[in-house]
This record gives sequence, structure tokens and C-alpha cells, in this order.
Amino acid sequence: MSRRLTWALLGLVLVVALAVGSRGPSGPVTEDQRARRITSIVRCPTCRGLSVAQSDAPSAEAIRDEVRRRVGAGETDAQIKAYLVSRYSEDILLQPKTAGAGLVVWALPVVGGAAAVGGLVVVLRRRRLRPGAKVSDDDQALVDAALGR
Amino acid sequence: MTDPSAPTETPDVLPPVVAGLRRSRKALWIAVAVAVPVALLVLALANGQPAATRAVKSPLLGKPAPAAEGTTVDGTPASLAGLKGKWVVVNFFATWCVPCRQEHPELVRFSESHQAAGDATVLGVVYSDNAQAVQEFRAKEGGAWSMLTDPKGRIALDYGVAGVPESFLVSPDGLVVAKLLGGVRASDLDQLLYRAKGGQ
Repeated sequence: MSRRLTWALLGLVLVVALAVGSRGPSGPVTEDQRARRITSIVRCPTCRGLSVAQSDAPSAEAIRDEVRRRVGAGETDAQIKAYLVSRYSEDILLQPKTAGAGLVVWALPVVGGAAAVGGLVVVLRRRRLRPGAKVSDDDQALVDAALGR
Repeated sequence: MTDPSAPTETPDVLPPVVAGLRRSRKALWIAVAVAVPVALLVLALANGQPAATRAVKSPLLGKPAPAAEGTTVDGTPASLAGLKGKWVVVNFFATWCVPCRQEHPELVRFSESHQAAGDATVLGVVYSDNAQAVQEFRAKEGGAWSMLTDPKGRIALDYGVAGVPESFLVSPDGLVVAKLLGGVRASDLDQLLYRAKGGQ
């Protein structure tokens, strides 16, 4: 198998794995699962570093009830998040914003990944282009003697 | 014969009893040095005046105030809509919250000073507390304004309350003019009201 084919196969496996991984669980999602998914990315207003799904604080309980009620009423995830943001501001969401300074947080891993792949390609190319090491006559004689040549 | 006036030298190794006494005296001084400032801090926090009223940003500013209606701690119905035409300080309160207890006399003062003019009032909302505790507190400390119960925290959620005390100044036409974090002072509320009415 040629080296190029190996790299192409490796790339294909990576793309498929990323696609499958980013799709998340398949199949129909229950209302309870939806509510849990939303509350897991909403910050508990009265506690530090906990999501509403993780906290037992009264404010977190109130948000959980409200999210469940809105999910039951047929609102979309975006509508429910928009309601919470309209009350508490963007800070209520544990995910960074996809605009302004928040965009840096999303872009940084992509830029970092691209830089790492680029660096790897450059290093591998340089290694391939490097001329082979020269062996001294003494060393060559030693190798020949050991191999019985 | 030894000279009694000669300075006595401290022995290199102290007897165990003396060393123990010195250690326990040192520990006592450290304990006092830690305990006194802590006790003073606790006293200051428990009895101090509320800090200056702090107005903060909120997505609700300039928007219609969320509905606040239900049953008061006395069992009578009340609502924010029923107070339309007046400036209303919607105050989220709990008896277990020390800053809420500290700001209460300020709210009483504010409410009483505007009672005759009828231009402004207070609407309380109980935050994660029981009606009986609030009733007992008000019987002792005063406060004649309506105090809504909020059993499921829906009103607090609609106002984006993250803790108590928090207050919102609502204009006579029902718009949120200010969000106040922490304890409020009557004089600061008056100043805020003056500015909101168009004064400078």
C-alpha cells in the first residue's frame, strides 16, 4: 500500500469519527432528555461553577421547572435559551457566545488544530528531504564483519 | 561565692514546665489575635447599615416589567398591575437573608415617606422562604406593603433574580427603570426616583 493511500485512509477515518462524534446520540429524544440537555448548559444563578441540572438550589429548581414546562409547551431549544437570556443576560449560558469575544473561544481549537496539522506536515517533509547520514569506512567495516560479508 | 547582682543567664534548655507555659501563652495570643478581628467583622456585618444602593445592568431595563401577581403572605390577592400609575420598588426578600433584614427599615422609611403623596410604593416578593416567617418578621419590624408569595420561584425567575436582596424600580407605565443589587437605602431610592422622574 502506498504511503499516500495510507494517509488518505487515516484522514477518512478521522473525518468519519468526527462526523459521528459530533452528531451525538441518534433516535427520538424524549421531553425529559431535551429538558436535561438544556439545563446542563444553563448556569445555576446562585451557585458557582454548577449547571442548573447539577444544582439543588431553589433558583436552579425554578429554572428546571420552567424549562420542562416550556419543552412540554413545544418551544424549541433556541426559544427557551432566548427566554433565559432575556431575564439573566448571556451570562446564564455556560457555552460561550458565538459572536464578539466569545467567538475566540470557539475559533481557538480550530486554529490550534490546523496549526498542529500544518506543523506536522512541515516536519515530515523536512525529514524526508534530509540527505541520508554518511557512514565512515571504519563503521562500515565493522558492520560488514558482523554480517559476515 | 556568687555575686547576686550579676545578671542571671537563661539556660539553653528550659525546664519542660516553663517551655509548656510559654507555648500555651503564645497559642493564647494567636487565638486572641485571630478571634477578635473575626468577632468584630461578624458584628459589623450583622449590625451594619446596608451598603450604598448598587444599580446594575439587566436585560429587563427599559422593557415591560414581568407580571408579578398572586397571593400575599396574608392570603389576599395582589399584583404589580394593580399598582399601575405609581412608581413601584419590586423587592425580593427572605427572612433568612441578613442584608434583607438590614435594608428592611430603609424600605419602611421609603414607603412611609411616599404614602401621603401616593407617588411610589413597594411590592415585596418572598424568595425561598415561608409566609409565616415573613408575617412574624413584619409584625415585629413593620412594613405595610403587599408581600407576594412565590412558591415555585416563577416571579423571581421572570425577573432574573440570582439572590436576595434584589430590587427593581418600575415606572408608572410598567417599565423596568433600574435593577438594584444588594441592600437599598431610602435616600438612594429617593435620588433614583428623582432622576427617573426627569430631575437631575
